[in-house]
Amino acid sequence: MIRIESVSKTYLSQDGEPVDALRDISLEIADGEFVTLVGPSGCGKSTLLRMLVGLLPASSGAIWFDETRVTGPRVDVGMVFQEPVLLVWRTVKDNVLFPIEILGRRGRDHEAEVQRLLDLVGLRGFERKMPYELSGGMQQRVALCRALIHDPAVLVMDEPFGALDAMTREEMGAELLRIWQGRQKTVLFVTHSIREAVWLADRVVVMTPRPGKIADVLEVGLPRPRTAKMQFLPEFGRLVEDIGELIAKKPGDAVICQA
Amino acid sequence: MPGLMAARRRAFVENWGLPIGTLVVAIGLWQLATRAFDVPIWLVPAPSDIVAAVAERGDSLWPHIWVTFYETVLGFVLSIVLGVPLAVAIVHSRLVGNAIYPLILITQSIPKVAFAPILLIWLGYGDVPKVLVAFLVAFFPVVVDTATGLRSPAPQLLDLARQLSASQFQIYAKIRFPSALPHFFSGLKVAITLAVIGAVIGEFVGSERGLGFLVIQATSHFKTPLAFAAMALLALMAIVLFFAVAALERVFCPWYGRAH
Repeated sequence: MIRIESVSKTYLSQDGEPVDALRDISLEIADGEFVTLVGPSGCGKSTLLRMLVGLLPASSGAIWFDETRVTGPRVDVGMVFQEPVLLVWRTVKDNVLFPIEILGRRGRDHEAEVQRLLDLVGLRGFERKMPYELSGGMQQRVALCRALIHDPAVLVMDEPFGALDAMTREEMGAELLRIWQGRQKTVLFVTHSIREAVWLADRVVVMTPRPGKIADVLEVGLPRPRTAKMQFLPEFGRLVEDIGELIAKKPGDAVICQA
Repeated sequence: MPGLMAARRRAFVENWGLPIGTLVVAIGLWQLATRAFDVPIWLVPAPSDIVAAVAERGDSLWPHIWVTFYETVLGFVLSIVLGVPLAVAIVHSRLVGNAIYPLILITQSIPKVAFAPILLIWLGYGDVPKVLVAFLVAFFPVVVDTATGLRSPAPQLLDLARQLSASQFQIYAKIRFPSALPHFFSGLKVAITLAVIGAVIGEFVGSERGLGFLVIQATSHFKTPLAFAAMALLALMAIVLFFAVAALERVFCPWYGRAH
């Protein structure tokens, strides 16, 4: 279980003025839960993720992984970003093995795990390819394998499909759900797309900016496994609409509702 | 596939035939012009006169070529040996960077031609001042480009490494240095051609051998063809060294050019 307890983050701006990036965020995420964070840019989603994995200290409040307070980098988290950020000089296989190398756990069984993961995302036979030989979607699949190789309990994903075209994006979402169900990870997934947020999640956390706050947390009651058709259910539409309204409530904020 | 063959032949002509052809035509025109207008040999020698000068000197040119070559290469190697750690220091610590940046900028801004005579006073007529001038002109692009390269990894990649609790050593060995390689080689390609110029400047100021010395000596006796010959050899040396560095680049970062 991850517990975020009234976490705030205040930056000093260039001219020395304090800026509230996040104010009083509280959230509990159960083991194996799929939680999406949705909100306009500048509402501190990425800041929250960086604090969660211990890359950034909170100004006040605390974050707990079970009984352990987060005070430094959490190696039991796998991270995926909007860009694949692969090591362009390494093969697909060596990219996936990167965390193993950093953690100093290199061994035979990991080679087999690389095969299993590449199989899982449909990249069997691509071990020796270089990143520049792959499409954007394939590169992002490699990044996903890299995030899973050390078998972390938690996956933290910062707009992982934001740079992909709509079709690849749906495909990747379905793949992620399949992997999540097979491996029972806790997933925290940031997105700009309300529809994506609803379709993937057990719960959607809606955030509003200046200062970054949680506006509401909504349960998604749709059954698992999710299918593409569920996007046409009335309750799906209602959730999307509710979330859109929550975000739009803040005056002066344009809402971009991507497919 | 005749179409493919034709395309290949065309690419070959465009990539090799065209530049070589232009060069041959230019040299031919030069030859004709000096003869047609009866230009005196001490003013502008014809290409054939330059070739004759090289032939006349023969093997006695080699020691001069060798001296300038090793002054250049030593200065160049020194610029890497000192430039790379300096780049690391600049990237690693903002304070160190702030502290030494003005010094680096000053060494770059001082006209090397003006500084070379002072080096001569300090270090005498030997090879050391030439190597130092070559080093001084070559090291700036090495430092600047390497520093740029070390800073080039995406912040997310560095986040990922830190989240996996990578050590600073790991971050440099596995991310920063490999990322810096293409930038490093860009710097080296500039540096190697500059190093040749540096060595020649060093020789101009005071020396008893080397191709730069040969130019000075030849012009003072109005042996213009020999001066041209030395110049041509210098250009040739710079080109050969440049392509050697470019070849190393292809060995060490074969992914580059396709990765972006």
